[in-house]
Amino acid sequence: MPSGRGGERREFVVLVVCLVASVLLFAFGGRLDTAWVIRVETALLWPAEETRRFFEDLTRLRGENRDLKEQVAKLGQERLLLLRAGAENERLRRTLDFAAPRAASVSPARVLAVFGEPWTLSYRISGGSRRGFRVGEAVVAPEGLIGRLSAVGPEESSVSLLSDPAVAVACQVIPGGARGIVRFRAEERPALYLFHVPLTDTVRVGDVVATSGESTLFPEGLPVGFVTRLGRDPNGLVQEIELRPAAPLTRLREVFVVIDSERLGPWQLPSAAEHATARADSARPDTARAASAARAAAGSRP
Amino acid sequence: MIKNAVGLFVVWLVAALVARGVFGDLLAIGGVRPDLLALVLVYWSLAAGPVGGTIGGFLIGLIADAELARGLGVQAGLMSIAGFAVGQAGRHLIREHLVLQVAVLGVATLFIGIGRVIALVPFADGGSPLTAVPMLLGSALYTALLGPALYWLLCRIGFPDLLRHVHAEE
Repeated sequence: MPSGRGGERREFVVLVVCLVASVLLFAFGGRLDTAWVIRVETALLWPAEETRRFFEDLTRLRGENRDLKEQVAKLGQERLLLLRAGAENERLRRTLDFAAPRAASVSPARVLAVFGEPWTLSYRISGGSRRGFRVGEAVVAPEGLIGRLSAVGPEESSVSLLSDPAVAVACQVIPGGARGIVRFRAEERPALYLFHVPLTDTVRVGDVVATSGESTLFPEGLPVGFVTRLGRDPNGLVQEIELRPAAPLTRLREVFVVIDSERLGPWQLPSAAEHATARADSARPDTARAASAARAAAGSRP
Repeated sequence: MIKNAVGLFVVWLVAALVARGVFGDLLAIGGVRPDLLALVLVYWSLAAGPVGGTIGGFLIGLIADAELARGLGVQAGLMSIAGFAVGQAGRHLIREHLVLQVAVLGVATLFIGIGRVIALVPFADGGSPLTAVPMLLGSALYTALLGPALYWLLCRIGFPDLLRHVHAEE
């Protein structure tokens, strides 16, 4: 540490030298190239600058990633809505194609609620006695018969579906002509069955089963289902004919109550191509789930 | 010993340049930035005394002049004077005292800032150097608070006391 007058003088000398140098630089330093100082400084700052940029980019990318994720989620939701709207459009178009030519004989109704476990047993639908609905009337979908009205209120009604073991329908096999009763059997292998068909009658897998003229409740010729499996009844006297419903009972949103069966007219029976489409349709997860649930429930019964 | 002191000065200077160049935007509060070169100069001068402060001020000023690319020597002279004055003051004050640091830093930064504005900023068309006063005062206050805060923080986390360190070496 400098001390005394000598030290102080040295300090002042240094200051004076620096000030003189400053003045000289101010006066004559205009010609000096000082750009190298900036270059050195830039080189010195480069690693820190790059590190800062890296973190800035990281932060920006994180924000971008978050925004993109939100967008993807939003687009996914929109896509789902569009798919749903498309499916609804297709369904309503089919429904309209079915209802328009039969406007005088059928009355449309919305499915309000679905009841039944493990398989669907009944619907609650819009419309009741104020629209002229009566207990026992047939309820159909564009694909065919789905059940009948079991209770009618002023504004709402209940439909017992074909999958309700209490519903029985007199039917015939087309084109073979074999007659029997279609009913849901909950035991062992739960499904729709065509009962009382003698072993001598010819029935093939894929044949259409429709309502017969012997039915007092349902008009003749309504498609009920397709033959999916043939077997022999345990008692050995009649056939065991398993059916798949013509209409997708678990997925219907709109149905039609047949209010004037006389004017319903002949029903166009499904073609082989429609049968194939319907079969593929039945392999959809919700049907498969319902079937497996039904099997599980049947297996748990004593 | 001198080599160590010079090394320390270079480290402080580089740290200030990096902090100013890289984190300048982050440090700005309401558009007011701390004068980090003045901060380094004041602490260096407090640590090294009048001679070290004068030479350090001259070198820092030269860098600042080179960055500005005009008025070469102006900031070198201003900072030499500031370094000398702070070095002299440090001899008579308790340098580790935070409030004193605030005062010394504030005055030194204001002095450098005012000198810089008067000498280097052209005030044509009726402009006045007084318009720069609020900004200078803000910067001086910011620097005066930032310096002691950093000093206190470094001491708290166990960093060697830089003022005592250089002083002992001298």
